Amino acid sequence: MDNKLKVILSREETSARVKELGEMISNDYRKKELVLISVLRGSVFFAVDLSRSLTVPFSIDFISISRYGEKTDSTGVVRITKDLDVNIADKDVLVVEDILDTGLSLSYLLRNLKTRNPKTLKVCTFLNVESRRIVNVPVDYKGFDLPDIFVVGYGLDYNEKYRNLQYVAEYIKD
Amino acid sequence: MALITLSREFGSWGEEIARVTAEKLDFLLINKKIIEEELSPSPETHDQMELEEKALGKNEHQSLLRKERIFSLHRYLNQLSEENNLVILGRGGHLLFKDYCPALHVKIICPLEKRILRVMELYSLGKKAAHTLISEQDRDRKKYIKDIFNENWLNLNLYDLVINTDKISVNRAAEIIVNSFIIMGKSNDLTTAPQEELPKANLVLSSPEKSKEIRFMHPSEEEFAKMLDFYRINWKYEPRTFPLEWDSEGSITEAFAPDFYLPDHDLYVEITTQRQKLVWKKNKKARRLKELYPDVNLKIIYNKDYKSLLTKFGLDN
Repeated sequence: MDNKLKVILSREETSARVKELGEMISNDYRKKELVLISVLRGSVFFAVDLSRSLTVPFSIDFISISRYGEKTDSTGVVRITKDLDVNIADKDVLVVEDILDTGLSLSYLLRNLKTRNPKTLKVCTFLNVESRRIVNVPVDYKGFDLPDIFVVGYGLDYNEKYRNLQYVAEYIKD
Repeated sequence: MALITLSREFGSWGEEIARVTAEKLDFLLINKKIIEEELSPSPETHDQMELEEKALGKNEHQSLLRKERIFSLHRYLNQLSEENNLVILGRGGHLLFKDYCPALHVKIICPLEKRILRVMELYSLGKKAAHTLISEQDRDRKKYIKDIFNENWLNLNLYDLVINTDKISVNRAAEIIVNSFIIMGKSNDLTTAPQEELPKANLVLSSPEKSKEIRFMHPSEEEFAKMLDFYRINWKYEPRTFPLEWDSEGSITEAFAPDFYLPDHDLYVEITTQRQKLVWKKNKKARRLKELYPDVNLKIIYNKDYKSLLTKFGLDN
């Protein structure tokens, strides 16, 4: 193992919790038109595993927004870099995030999706870092609460590395 | 921004008049206690500043101390005046901002006998004790102006307006100041707003909203404003000052103006990049704010939180 990494959530813990979330969501979305919206790129791993544990019909789509600090956008405003292909009007939408911390980007995303008139709009995040929250956003389903540490794995990266880890680890900087 | 300075004789109701004037105009009141708390990072250095102030004129470092004090005082008040309309009580504000525009410099006076009666009533003192207290306070003010600014406190030519409170009330004196300020603003064409829109009780001269248009007190605030702009989150910079403490005369002695207000989230945000062990004063203010204004939501972004933010957005290198 990379000596900069300290395992926080094992593959088994992660897998078990994702299944639990899948059961909860399946119960809540019976007889509804569930659309999972995975926020690229980090949440893909979680969204795929979550979708496999669902026992209700659903469709899945992907959305991506620019991030503050990216070279091309550092002086502008947030924009959608990959939009949905499906129409979510009158659908029961569940936004799937890998990690929710400041709430800044999710706040924008929810405002944007609301304008498309979904029937319901909820949020499921794999990791939740409440201590970093700046603006309040609703969290309907969450996998794990984390303290203010920098983590990688299970879709989360550091300079595009470590996304493929099947566990979640704290990345300890030099 | 605009400012009004008030100099006063002890017992002339100057503190009360400053407070009412600030309320009528929705200006931020700045007095001795607020200035000294902001300029001294700990109670120990606060005490040291008091000692140094009293020592002025008694040792060979007089000139240097005077210059340092004027410099730090002027820098602090200048920063405040860039973002706030101010009523400055005492501290030689009329001399610090002698050439500032728009400004109104006011002196509050009252005959000694009347002041003695007021001080006797206010502090439950006998006539002699009241007289002694007035003499001491006025002497200290005269000395402060002489030592720090090398000016004569009694020189009425340093003021635009002198009000004698012998026969008028606090409220009437404040009205005179407010109206004088508005008339002065009109005659000098001082405001950026159309003159007919000058409000009687809210003389905010400009209200820029975006990060590019505002002069922030600290680079971290500017960076944070850019983040909010990026995610299209509405914000206002230091839109409200919360009074936290008052003295026996009802003057505000401590206040807190959080850096940002996010109206869509009904949230105030304060950013501090001080080291954790030095944020005790801010935490104390935050606790007091919560006690006095339980419905106000405040989020403090500490240095470690701010660093996390920079790391998250890849700006930490």
